[in-house]
Amino acid sequence: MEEKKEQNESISARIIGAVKSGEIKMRPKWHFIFRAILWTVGVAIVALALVYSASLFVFIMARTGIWVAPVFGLRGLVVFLTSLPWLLLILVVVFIVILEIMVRRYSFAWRQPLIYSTVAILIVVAAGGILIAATPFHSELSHCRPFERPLPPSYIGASVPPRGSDCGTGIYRDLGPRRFNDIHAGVITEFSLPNFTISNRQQEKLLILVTRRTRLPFGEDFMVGDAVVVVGERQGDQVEAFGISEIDQ
Amino acid sequence: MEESTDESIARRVQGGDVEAFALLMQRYEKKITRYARKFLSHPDDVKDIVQEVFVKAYVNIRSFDAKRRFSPWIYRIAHNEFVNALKKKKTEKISFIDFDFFFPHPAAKETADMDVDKNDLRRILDGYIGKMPVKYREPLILYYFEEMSYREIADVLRLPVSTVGIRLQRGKALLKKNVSRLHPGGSGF
Repeated sequence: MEEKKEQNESISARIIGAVKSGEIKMRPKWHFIFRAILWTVGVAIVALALVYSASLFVFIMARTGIWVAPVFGLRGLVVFLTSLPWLLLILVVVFIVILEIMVRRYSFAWRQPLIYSTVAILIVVAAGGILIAATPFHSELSHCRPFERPLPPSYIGASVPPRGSDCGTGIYRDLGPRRFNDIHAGVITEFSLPNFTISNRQQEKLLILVTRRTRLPFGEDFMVGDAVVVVGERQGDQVEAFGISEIDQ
Repeated sequence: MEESTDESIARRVQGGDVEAFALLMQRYEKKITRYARKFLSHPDDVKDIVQEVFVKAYVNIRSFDAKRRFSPWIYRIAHNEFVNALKKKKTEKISFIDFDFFFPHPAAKETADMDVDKNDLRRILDGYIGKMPVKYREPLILYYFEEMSYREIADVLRLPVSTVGIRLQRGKALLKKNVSRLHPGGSGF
């Protein structure tokens, strides 16, 4: 008992002695405030990076029409899986994990089961991603113009926006539409039944060959000016369509 | 003379009163040392670890919000130190992924027969606590020996209250199983 008391006293005496000699110093209040601010800024940066990545993912999916591919059956699903921007998807998952770990530091997060904060993050990311992807934000950053539809007669001779094939610079070039060989999005410019020609974002004219094997899950009621996604292997300027679907651009 | 609360003493320490910290150490040394002895399976360096807990408490005392309770705050520092000590020793497996706090659990409430239950369990736990997995050992120590509520344990371990309840339940069930296996017919439960 005496020994225990002596031991306790020695811990206390040693610490008080070290404090008085200046060996142990109390951290100032600003240190903790600064650290909390730094953490909050870190959370905000990761959250922004996450929403940006998610919106870029949605943007690429919409731009390239990849999301339509699974409706064309197993082959469409294979094209869909091989064409997904996996790097971006992995980046989104990594950001979600980092954000979750960072947010767990706050009592509002750790007092609840992990599933709640994860679902909350997913909802914010999905909503933010879809909203930003719907704005011209990524289009302007990527210099990716919308499809140039055939102009009505009244526009002939009028000032026409400059044409170019500059869809995708920087990160957009690496992650964007150019890497998808079996998916072709564009606007129908003319028909030579049963085939038709589309103009893609690179202003290339592609002849789409429609055969008996071509799947048209949403009908074949296409018109000049319609934006479509064609799944099929490209050979030169021709694509033998495995599946065609109209998309809303 | 009215006894000062831990929080009011902590406020004095934050203001630079070194002697007030001696008072806090006097109040918590015994508790933290008991917590350490039960939690760490190698009690030889308990004194050094407890000393480190108080050094960290002093260094970081200005991060303590005096509007909250002091006890969970210092126990949280102790918890971190003990877990680090276990990781350094590598004698026990500490899992980083635990699905206990991933999904919600129905809350396990404290019952009326808890006092009897507590005394019996405390006696049995004393002999077996070192053999329990870390994730069950810690809430059992905090509940039965440090007499903390579910909410306080949740604050120390930074877990949802329902997870604390489920770990206590599972810890007790595991203890019962171990005791029954080692002493068939005379578990004391």
